[in-house]
Amino acid sequence: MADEKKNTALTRREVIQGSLLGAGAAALTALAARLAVASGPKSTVWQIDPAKCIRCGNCATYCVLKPSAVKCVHAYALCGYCKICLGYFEQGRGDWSARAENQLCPYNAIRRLYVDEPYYEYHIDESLCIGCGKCVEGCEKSGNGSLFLQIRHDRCVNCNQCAIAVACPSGAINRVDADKPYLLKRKDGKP
Amino acid sequence: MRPTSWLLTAIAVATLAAMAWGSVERFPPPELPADHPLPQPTTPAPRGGDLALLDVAVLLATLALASVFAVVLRNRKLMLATMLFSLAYFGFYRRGCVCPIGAIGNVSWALAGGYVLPAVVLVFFLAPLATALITGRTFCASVCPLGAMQDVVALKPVKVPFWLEQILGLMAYLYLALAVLLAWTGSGFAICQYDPFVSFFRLSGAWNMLAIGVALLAIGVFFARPYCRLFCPYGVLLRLLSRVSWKRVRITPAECIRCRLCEDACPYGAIRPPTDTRPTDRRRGKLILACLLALAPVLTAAGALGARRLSGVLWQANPTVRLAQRVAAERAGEFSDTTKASEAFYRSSGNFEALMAQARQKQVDLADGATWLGAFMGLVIALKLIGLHTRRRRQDFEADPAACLACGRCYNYCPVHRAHRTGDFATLEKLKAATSKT
Amino acid sequence: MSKTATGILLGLVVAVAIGVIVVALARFDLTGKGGNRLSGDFNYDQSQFEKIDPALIGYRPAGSFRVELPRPSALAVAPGGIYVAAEKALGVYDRDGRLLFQQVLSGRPTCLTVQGQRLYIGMADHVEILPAGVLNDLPAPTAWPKLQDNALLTSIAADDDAVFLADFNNRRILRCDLEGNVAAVIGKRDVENGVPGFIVPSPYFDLALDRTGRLLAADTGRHRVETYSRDGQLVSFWGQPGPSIEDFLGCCNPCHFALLKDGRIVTSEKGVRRVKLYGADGRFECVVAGPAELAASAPRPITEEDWPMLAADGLDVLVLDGQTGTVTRFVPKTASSASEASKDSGH
Ligand code: SF4
Ligand code: SF4
Ligand code: SF4
Repeated sequence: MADEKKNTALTRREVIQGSLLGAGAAALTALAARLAVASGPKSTVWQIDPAKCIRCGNCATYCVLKPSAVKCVHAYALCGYCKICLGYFEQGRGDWSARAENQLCPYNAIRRLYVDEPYYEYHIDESLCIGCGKCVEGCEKSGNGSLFLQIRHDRCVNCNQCAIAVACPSGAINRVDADKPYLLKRKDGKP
Repeated sequence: MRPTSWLLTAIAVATLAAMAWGSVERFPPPELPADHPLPQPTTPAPRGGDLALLDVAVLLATLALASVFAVVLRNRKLMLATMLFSLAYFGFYRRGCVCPIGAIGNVSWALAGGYVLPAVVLVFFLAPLATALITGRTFCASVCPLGAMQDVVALKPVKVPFWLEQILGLMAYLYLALAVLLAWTGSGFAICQYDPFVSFFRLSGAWNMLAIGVALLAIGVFFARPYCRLFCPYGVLLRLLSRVSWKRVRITPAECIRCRLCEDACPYGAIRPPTDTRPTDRRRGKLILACLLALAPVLTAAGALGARRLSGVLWQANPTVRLAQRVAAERAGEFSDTTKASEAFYRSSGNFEALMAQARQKQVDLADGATWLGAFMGLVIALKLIGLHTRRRRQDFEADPAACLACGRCYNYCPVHRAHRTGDFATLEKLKAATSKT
Repeated sequence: MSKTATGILLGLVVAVAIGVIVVALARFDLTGKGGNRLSGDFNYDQSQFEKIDPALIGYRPAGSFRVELPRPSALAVAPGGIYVAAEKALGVYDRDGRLLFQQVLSGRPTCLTVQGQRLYIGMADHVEILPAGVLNDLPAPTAWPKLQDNALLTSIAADDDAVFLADFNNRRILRCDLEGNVAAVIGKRDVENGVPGFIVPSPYFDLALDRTGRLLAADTGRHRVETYSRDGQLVSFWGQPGPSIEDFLGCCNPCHFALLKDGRIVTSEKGVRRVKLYGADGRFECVVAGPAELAASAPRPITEEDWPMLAADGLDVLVLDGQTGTVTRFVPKTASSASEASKDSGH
């Protein structure tokens, strides 16, 4: 008698448990199906839209990495190869010689190469650049805007929520398909 | 949601088109010497897609191993090894992203039509849940790097009153609801922004998060896995599924001899003793249950209304609403200066009416979302109360399926388990005899 | 450890930890409210150039008007009125800003000039001509053939014998006859003949004809204004880069210039928005308008339209702000022009 009772009790418990399990599985499957519809094969990475960026400086300090994964990038094709580059020289310092104190970049991260009178080529040393955007602002305000900021994906750890994107005042940082990770400034303006 | 994102896309496309048009042929290359080629900016590639597949493979493998080790082999050492491997791989090698906990944000946002959910993230989100349905929270025990981080410092766990943990544990539900709501409305992925341990994995980050991480670990010495037990929003989902799981961690491989040896084994306080067999006042119990059942809709409604009234607080979490409020105030002359955000807005020659319309939509979304959130919390509290009242009858020492993190620490406390491992059943018999006497 | 000791330790650790968490959360600036926390070295700061000693300012604004045209792109003054070209449109205004006439154009002109009975309109790669002074029923414009070599015209000047075109894409000036045939190419690098070749890093390349018929051109990369004979000999130049007010700032300036009727030269710069006046020999005379006078209405992206476009009306200077479509007249502070005096008395 006692044994029988125990058996039925167990069975009832098993039935309940089984149906709960079934309900759980069904719910999870439904969720999976719904999500599958909203999903695609491509991964995403974070990208700065240079057209929106206002060079606020947050890129240098809000990245979880120190130094930031954001660096200045040079679209050489847009550059005027100016002798007096306002992304390179701190205006008003004097003699336009490449002395460190004349340089605008606080980290002297820009290399100035003589090409041919009067053309100079400017390169960013990414190991020094912290992505503050000061040179970008200078080039944008006085020059051709050939300098711009980009998240460099050899450094970026692709945070699920980019800390800079949250702090970006212009909404310039967004997720994009991982196979088009950069938005480079180009001559024809096309990305 | 959808119309706004369409609008945004349209604006973006138009802007790009205008840009492309405006700068045609503006920049002929300077007349550089022929032997000087024009350099191209470099574009270092992000981590490759096959490595993402590796992540998925490692996730599935560790989940499978953790389950086998926990439920079939009942081997704590192997589970520990899996946990340390996962900590190294998902934590320090993959630096914490992407993880199933944070994926709650991605999933919510994708469901709201915000973006196309990458398949990898989908798998990261679903696989541990599916596993929980089969073998319980083995993800927590051996795969989650956040859990592992706390697990290794749980040196002196103390018992916390049951009711206290139940009350504090409500924070996880609130956190989940908030995270879903914020991600849903495009206000960011709160879980990732407030991830306390990710800065350890990256060995850098804001001091705030580092400090919170250290503080949680310090608490974790005494109160094992505080994040898992009190905050983890993914844990809420795992609890739910683990409760109905097919197999799960059982303290004893055979029948429980009620020796009480495992009583204090669990650092997470998940082991529940057998219930009182003394007869209870059934009429009184039924009355209370009826009251609680009647309370449920009341709590739900109260939560919904209350949260809706408070939803203004959430507006500040949304960048569009923040910007719109600021710009509106600036236009009304309340400020003489601009913020970076309002400056960016003016520079983009943005349309104020469109911004206000977007912001109003977000406010509506957030208010609606807050209503759901409040209802959800009311319901959770009601169900908790009912659950506490209708305790399941237990004859044995059992691990609470929801609270058990499947770490297997209790196995070795159980003499039955030890006997099965060593084959030394004589000791077990002696013990049995001793316990039945008392 | 005794039980009480553990308890005390536990309580302490938990209390401190909770305190730390609360403080850390409260001081967490996720949204960038606190700014970038970078030192002042990281500011791109032009304010020292934007403040201009009032004593240096020799002009004052005397009225302005808005042109209701999309993306204004060029400005010219002729006895018949003030010509403003814009996206597919040309507007002619009297000096009080009344619209005299509006004409649909085929594209967006990059430069304009009026010479005698002809209005020359520089489209990107060709020139169109309309009769000047006629204010209704204009015929379809006569178009000169498209220029070779992917030319991009940025400035145009004409007299009774020739039309000069500044071609930014090729860093050259074309001298055409009145039928549009290219008669000479001026300014191509030719070191032997003393022609350095223009350095024009950004698409601002202005030219003008002086009273003696010589050609003035802005060699912006060298920060100077060069004078050429009509056959392309470099005669003289003036200007240099530098931080002081008589020099030119930026990487490539002056971006626009215009000649007053007495031969003096007004220049405008990109980077720091300012208009200055130089003698015919290049000696700095005064500031016409500084950033304060030319202030932008709101922060905005920097575009081609952004830098002040210039035209001279006698001794007055007209400045067109392409972003807002505002034409402002600046008159000398001291000897006010006769028309200005009569206007003042009217108020
Ligand atoms: S935070 Fe945004 S606006 Fe600021 S520099 Fe970075 S991308 Fe540009
Ligand atoms: S100025 Fe700032 S952004 Fe530019 S190179 Fe230097 S560190 Fe990088
Ligand atoms: S995703 Fe992370 S690492 Fe990459 S730029 Fe953003 S904050 Fe830095």
